[in-house]
Amino acid sequence: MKRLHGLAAAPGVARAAYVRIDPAPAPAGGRTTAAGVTGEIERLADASAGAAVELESISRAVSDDGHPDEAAIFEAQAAIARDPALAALATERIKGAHDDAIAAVQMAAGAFAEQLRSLEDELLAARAADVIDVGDRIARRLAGTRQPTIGLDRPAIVVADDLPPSLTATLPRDRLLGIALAGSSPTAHAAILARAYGIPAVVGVRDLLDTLSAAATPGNGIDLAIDGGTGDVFVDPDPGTIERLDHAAASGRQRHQQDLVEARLPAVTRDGTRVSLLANIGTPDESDGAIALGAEGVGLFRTEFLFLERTTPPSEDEQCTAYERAIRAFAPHPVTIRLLDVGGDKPIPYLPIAAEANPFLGVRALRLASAQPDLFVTQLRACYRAAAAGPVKVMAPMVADAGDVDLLLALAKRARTELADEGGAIGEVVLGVMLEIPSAVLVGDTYFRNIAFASLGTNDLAQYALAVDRGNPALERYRDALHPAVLRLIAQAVDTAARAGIELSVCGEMAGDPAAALALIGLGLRSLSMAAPSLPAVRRAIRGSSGTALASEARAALDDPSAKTARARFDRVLGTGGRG
Amino acid sequence: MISRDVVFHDRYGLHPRAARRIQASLDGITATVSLTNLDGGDATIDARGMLALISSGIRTGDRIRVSADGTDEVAALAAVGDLIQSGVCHPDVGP
Repeated sequence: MKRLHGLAAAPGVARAAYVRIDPAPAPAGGRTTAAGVTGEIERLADASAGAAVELESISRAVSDDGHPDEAAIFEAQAAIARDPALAALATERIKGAHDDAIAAVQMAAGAFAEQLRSLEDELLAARAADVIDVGDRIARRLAGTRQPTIGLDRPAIVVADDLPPSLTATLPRDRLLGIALAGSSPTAHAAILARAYGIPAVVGVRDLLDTLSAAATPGNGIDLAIDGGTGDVFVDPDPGTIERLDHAAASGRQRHQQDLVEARLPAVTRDGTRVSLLANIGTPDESDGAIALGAEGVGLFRTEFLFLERTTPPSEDEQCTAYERAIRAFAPHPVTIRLLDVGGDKPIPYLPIAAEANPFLGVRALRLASAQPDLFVTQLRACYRAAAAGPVKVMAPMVADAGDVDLLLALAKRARTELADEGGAIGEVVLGVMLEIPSAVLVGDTYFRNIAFASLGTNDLAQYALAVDRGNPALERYRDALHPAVLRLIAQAVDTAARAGIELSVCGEMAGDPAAALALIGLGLRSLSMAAPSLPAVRRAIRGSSGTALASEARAALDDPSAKTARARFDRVLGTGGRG
Repeated sequence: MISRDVVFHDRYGLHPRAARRIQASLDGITATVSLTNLDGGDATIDARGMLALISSGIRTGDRIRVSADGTDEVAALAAVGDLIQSGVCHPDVGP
């Protein structure tokens, strides 16, 4: 056995015989004469139009197959084939140098590809392959040779130096078990298509072709194994490796299937305590995956993706569009939008924040609103407008006390009044706060009646309560949010929220940690929001627990001497299925 | 002729699919439309030219001046400007 390593391009495990593909080179061009120029130019126009039609039909086939995004790759190639700039450059070459149409189109495609490579942008340089691919397609039509296809007479892993997009599109999906490429990159079309089709792929495996040439064909018929999740490639894998890969593949598939099935089960303890499980998302793109795992709404929609890495703030329309996408995906469940949460730790060109020694104790999030009210009013206006599409909650981060709540309410009122005066369509927005500064919990009784909900941001709550920098690895042993001091703050928040009659939820990492989630439920929380991949394990932990037992464990944990003791307590509960 | 400045927000830059969308957004519009990369040497390209678009080297965060000239120049500016500002195919994502 020989082990090679490449780049993980599409997850999954495959082991099978391999078929090596060496695409036939594109036809070679030649010369024409002064008399032939007009004819060559006409032939080129016909072949280009024909190639475009071919590519449009591939695009339709891929789209009908349920992959509209990948179909767009071929639509773009068709547009390249139709681009008058390609024809113009080739025509110049036919007229000037008396190249024939084949040589001219390859030269023109090569020139544009070279321009793309010179951009020193890995993603755009990878697209040079598209232009070359289109040029070759046109050249083949001119030469009357067939477009290459990948034919497989048996299920196999395809091995090649690289797979141009046009070849990738013809992959026979029923027999294609995996792809291993010596070249290419995870952003190339071969990798994009492999991911869309769910076919394991490893790319950039240097030495792959040489190693395979040197290896004798083994008698057992299995001569290649790839793990598209790690980038590992095993040539002539030994029985132990095969068993390990098969096992990993089977249990991964099983677990994911199981997760999807269980996503439909309610998160309810054995004695009937119902908990709502929601997802934290960072972009609207994450909505579908979260819904598939059973998220009953969004407990934290981070909006920083709209604001970072740009030179001007996002417009109200742009924000509204992004919020609407998530809202439509989750309706009738609510989406909780968190107002911009940035500070001196992440400089933003259009937001002047003076240099600070402690950005996490500085002018961040809602604290920016005194100097930059318009930034927040614009965001709130986008939220009110997006709320016409479905239920929306908005929460302010970095709230310390009643004064901050007054500020939030004033900003929201201004946004709503402006919109009402303008007469556009707006929806209801439920307003709340993040509880992440201990003071906000301690004086909750002074302002909870003015808002509809509060959400515990346990990462920051623990950081501020325990004086532990979230990013400092040397403080690992102090970081556990199951610290009794944090649990007491949470217990107080539960009590104050119940008295004020407002909704309380958790949207920190604590909610996605099964042992900690059980502690939160024991403390009285009934709404937990977490990164979507954490949903299955937390759902399982809840369904195996007893609400009564969790409540008594949580009460006891408040008096534990350390986070370690409290965690051991809930680890034990988790281990025994909550029967303890 | 009218123009509008927008920021290019597709996180993968002006890749072929994004270029195709920009091109397609001008279907049915007759105005000539060009893009100038204000952060990239001020080169001006035809918004309908597929190869010109993808070899423009426009990246996420670049400021782009969209210029349109023709009877339906207002519609042209709105179509291309809004598409670019909204992130085309992949609205950019912060760290």
